[in-house]
Amino acid sequence: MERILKFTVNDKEVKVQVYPGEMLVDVLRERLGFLGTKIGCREGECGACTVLLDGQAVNSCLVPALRVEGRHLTTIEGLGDEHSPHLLQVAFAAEGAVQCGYCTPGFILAAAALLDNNLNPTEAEIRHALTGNLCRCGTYPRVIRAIQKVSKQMGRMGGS
Amino acid sequence: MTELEREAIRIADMKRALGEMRFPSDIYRPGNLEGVVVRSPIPHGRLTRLDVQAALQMPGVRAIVTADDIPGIKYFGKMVQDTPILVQVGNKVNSVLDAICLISADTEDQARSAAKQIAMDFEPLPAVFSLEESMAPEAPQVHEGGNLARHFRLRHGDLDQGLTVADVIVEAEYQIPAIEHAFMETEAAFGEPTEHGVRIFVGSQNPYLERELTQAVLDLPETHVEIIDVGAGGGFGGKDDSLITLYVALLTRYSRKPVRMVWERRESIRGHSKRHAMQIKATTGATRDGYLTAMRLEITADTGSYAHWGPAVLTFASLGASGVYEIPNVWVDTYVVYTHNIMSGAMRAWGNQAIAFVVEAQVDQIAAKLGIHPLRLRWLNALREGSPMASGRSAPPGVGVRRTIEAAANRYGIDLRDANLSPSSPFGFATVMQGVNYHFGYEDAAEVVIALAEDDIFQVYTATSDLGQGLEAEIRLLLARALGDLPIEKTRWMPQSTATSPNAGSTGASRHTALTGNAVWGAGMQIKRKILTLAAEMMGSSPDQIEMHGSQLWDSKSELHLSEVLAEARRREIPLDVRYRFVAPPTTAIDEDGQGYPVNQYTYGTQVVQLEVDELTGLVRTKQVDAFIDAGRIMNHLGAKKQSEGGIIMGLGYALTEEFVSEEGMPLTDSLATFLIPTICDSPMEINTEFVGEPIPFGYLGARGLAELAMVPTAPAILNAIFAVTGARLFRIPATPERVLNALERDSTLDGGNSHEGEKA
Amino acid sequence: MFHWQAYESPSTVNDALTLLHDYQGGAALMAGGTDLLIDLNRKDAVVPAVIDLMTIPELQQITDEDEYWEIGATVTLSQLLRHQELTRLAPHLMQALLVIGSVQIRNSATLVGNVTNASPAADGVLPLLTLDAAVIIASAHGERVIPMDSFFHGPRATACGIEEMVIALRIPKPSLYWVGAFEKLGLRQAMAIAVVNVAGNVAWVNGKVESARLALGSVGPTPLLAEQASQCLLGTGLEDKVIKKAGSLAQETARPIDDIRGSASYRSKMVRVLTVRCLQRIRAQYVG
Repeated sequence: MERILKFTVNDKEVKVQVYPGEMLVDVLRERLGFLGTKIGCREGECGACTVLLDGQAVNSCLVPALRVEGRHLTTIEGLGDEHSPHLLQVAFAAEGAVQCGYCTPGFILAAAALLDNNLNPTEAEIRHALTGNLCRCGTYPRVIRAIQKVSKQMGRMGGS
Repeated sequence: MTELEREAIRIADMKRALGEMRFPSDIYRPGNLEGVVVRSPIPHGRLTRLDVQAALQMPGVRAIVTADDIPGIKYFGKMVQDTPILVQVGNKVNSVLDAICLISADTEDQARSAAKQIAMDFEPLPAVFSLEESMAPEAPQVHEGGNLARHFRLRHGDLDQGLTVADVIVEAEYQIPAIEHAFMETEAAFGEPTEHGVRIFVGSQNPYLERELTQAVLDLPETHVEIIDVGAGGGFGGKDDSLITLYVALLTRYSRKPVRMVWERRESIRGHSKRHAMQIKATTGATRDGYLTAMRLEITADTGSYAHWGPAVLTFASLGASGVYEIPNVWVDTYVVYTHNIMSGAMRAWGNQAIAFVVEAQVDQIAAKLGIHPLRLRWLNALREGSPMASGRSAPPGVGVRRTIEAAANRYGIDLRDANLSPSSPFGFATVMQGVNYHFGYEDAAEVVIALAEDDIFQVYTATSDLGQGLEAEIRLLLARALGDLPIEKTRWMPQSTATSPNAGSTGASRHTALTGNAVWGAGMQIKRKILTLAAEMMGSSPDQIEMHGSQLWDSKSELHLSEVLAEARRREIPLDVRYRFVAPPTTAIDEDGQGYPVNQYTYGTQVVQLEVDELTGLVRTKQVDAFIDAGRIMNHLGAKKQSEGGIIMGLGYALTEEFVSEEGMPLTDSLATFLIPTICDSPMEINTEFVGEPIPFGYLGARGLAELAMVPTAPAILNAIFAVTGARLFRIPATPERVLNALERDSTLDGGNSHEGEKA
Repeated sequence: MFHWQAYESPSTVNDALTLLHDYQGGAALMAGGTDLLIDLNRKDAVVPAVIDLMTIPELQQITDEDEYWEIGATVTLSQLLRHQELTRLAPHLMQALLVIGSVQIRNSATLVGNVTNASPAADGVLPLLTLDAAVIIASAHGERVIPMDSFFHGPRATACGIEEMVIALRIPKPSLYWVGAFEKLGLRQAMAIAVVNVAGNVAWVNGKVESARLALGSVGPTPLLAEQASQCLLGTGLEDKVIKKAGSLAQETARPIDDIRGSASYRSKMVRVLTVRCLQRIRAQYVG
């Protein structure tokens, strides 16, 4: 039996019917069409499903949908778009920090959460923050570089 | 690195960074069904009964397909037609991957509930899971004809003679594990019925092959099957099995509605082929001055339940027995063996990564025994232009291996020419060569069509697979360059459909740069010629007087913008479309002694590794990897560096953490929590890549692919670095902390490290 | 697939207990949910109901109760990592929490969940054992307090009964000056279940060990307290010889098995190595 779930995604309020057992990642993808959030393992290992829940990075494959009642979610689509991409999106593309791209939205959101908390992370802090994002193509060195670049940019901009 | 190179990559990457890339698992249509596969619960047995009636009655079920429902071929395979698409009642299942039936339903939940209602009975049969078990006399047979799928032999020179004249001999046994591809996107396919047939969206490695198999399975003419390859989230050779395409094709045909199938991670791990696990006995001889005189390898490989690419992979890998060296006496015997494990197939480097580990460890041990610097020893023996290989002929032109060694030596101030150079080094070295493009006489060709669209954009039509290696960026870049450095936006990568695009061949064998790249270049050159000819008319000039660059054309007197020329072509109905097929230089099959010209090019690389070993726990931390690569002319430096870095990280996992383990044929490492690939914390602090190649005589571009080479030297160099730093030699990968510690304890009690058996545990 | 049929979101502990009773053992309690979901997924299981504890405000508190700190059942690992006083009180607990999973996991997972999951490899449990922590269990009959070292009965088996729930952890505020450390060995640099993990906590008075606790993980059916090893530290200044002895005694306490992550004999050696390292760090922190 489905229930109504109301929450905010990318600053927009949504109302959607969900089954009690549905996971957030499936609601985002299949009911709301946010296909930028990916599924890689369904066990919180790979981070491809990372979204920001009230600004915190979580594995949406392990969040029951009904838990997000009344809360704020950010998916990769909400971070930026073609016309005004987020600095991280620009940097990842410019630094070649993307190969197949399947892990990329998860990485970018985890990086966004990191920079929200820590504007000037050391390399060790960057690695620690992205531990939960796996990449089989091996983009790690460029991911680190892209985040460092954005951190400098944001520093110059006064953290906006 | 040019602006154009960066821009080509940036455009492709931006789509992914925005989350706008649509992978096969992102395809939905209103009302699509979901498909599931029902697999054998046991690794070996006879299917005695299959009753789908109860399942058919379950809510939401639309179709259930069994082997009897397959209209066309029921078996297929890369080399042997031994793989059942669905197992028939009365026949055997040979692994837990084997599919019994397929179910489509309105929701995945409904399909899975129905799957639980499938009644299947098996007569379990004794099974073999290890090489020993499989080769034992009276062992249960996987297939009629015995458990030996292939025996490959290579005979070059006189092995006994080579060992007799050797002053030192190193003999050891190595163990190589099976490996899981662990692509981040699992298998996914989407089928829709068309008027007469089916259209399937899938992330495969070869859409034309998928079409050929699908039409054969569905017994449909070629024109009734369309395969659209949708760039997958990684493949690495593991999306080459074709099974999900065939399952979806069958379900779509029978359900008469669109069918989506996506495998969860555990099913993915169970449902596709793995790298071959191997045991390798190696004997290497050298003279006192460091010249290799003999190499003998005895390789036994587990190809699992079906041959798949096994015989080819192992033959190809076996050719790497002499490494990058000129060794006058090389003998190899390779046994490809069936077991009831999940079948082994293709993965990046096709077995060469395993042989390279062995050869580079042997060479390293020779160096240690002789007191010769490990890099110098490699350099003394490295192939030169014209050097004969173990397969009899000389290596293809552009033998750049010494350049890679010299570049490594230069970086670290190692004087290769110094015969008294101290052998001790804190670094681990490995030098390897990777055969690229199709081998063994199989024709390698790529065909493209380039057509001008209404909006003045040049569209590239070629059907193959972009698995994340940057194919779109590279092809668009090449076309833009061929047309005088057009802005990248003036090119467009068209959907990879077998209905609209010619065959570029598979994604594999590191071939696209050289094959599809040359085809695009050739086509681009033809289009440029047409444009110049027309412009010449328009300008009252001649084609060779005109320069074309960045959408501008000019000679000493006047200039035109490209759009004016294109408009004129349109007005006069002069077609600028071109079809071009590039065929690589031919190779030959090899004879029963492994002799021939099986490979038309090699890419060469040396890597230097610096690492730390925690001597109390055995945990290894890789600090720095330097790669020196000869891939001929580099078409896109940024793209090439990404491949190099990605390969190194994959090689690091291969060396230190990855091992696919099954028990009684069932995966034990069945998740990303137990099959451990490198995390960002495992990535080295520093990776540097230097390209040292020169254009080779191959097509227009003079390039050769490095996608596989990139990962091959890493594990050997890491294992050699562990030795360099601790004196402990490992004969088995992955070099887990426990194995490193065991080796440390063993080798610290030995004096001199003589030849000995590899460790078993 | 859906892993439960009904989703309950009680707003008080009593409501939760009532639901537990109503479902007669068929309901699963969910704090962070990470372990629960991974488990249900792995088993392809469906439970009649899940009881979400995140909707109970009193369980989200970290409260200062004078003699001890109380950490509610739904306080996440990330929330704990941000808590300044707890960080001062138990830095080695924070060291352990930092290596549990990833940021994403820590933003959802709870310390109580780490405890109730009762894996012998649980990183969070070991420092808690050395802090003499206790588990507060609520039932229809009221609350009871169980010392953590009596809480674990076996792998995935605890003192918590079917109609009971753990509502908080209690960490006593020490009167002595304690220094703790945590060591973990995994098969890769991060995101690894421990092959062996060790926590130590030592109380110093005038340069001598007044009290000590060592806890060993992944080397038995439950996390283990290395009593003899802890005993041998008393009255010493953690000299090299003493540390070495403690390492050997800890090794003797351990009862490891072979599994996919390592052999029993390797684990046994690592208990000694990690115990020694743990104590060396404690000494360095105190002396330095």
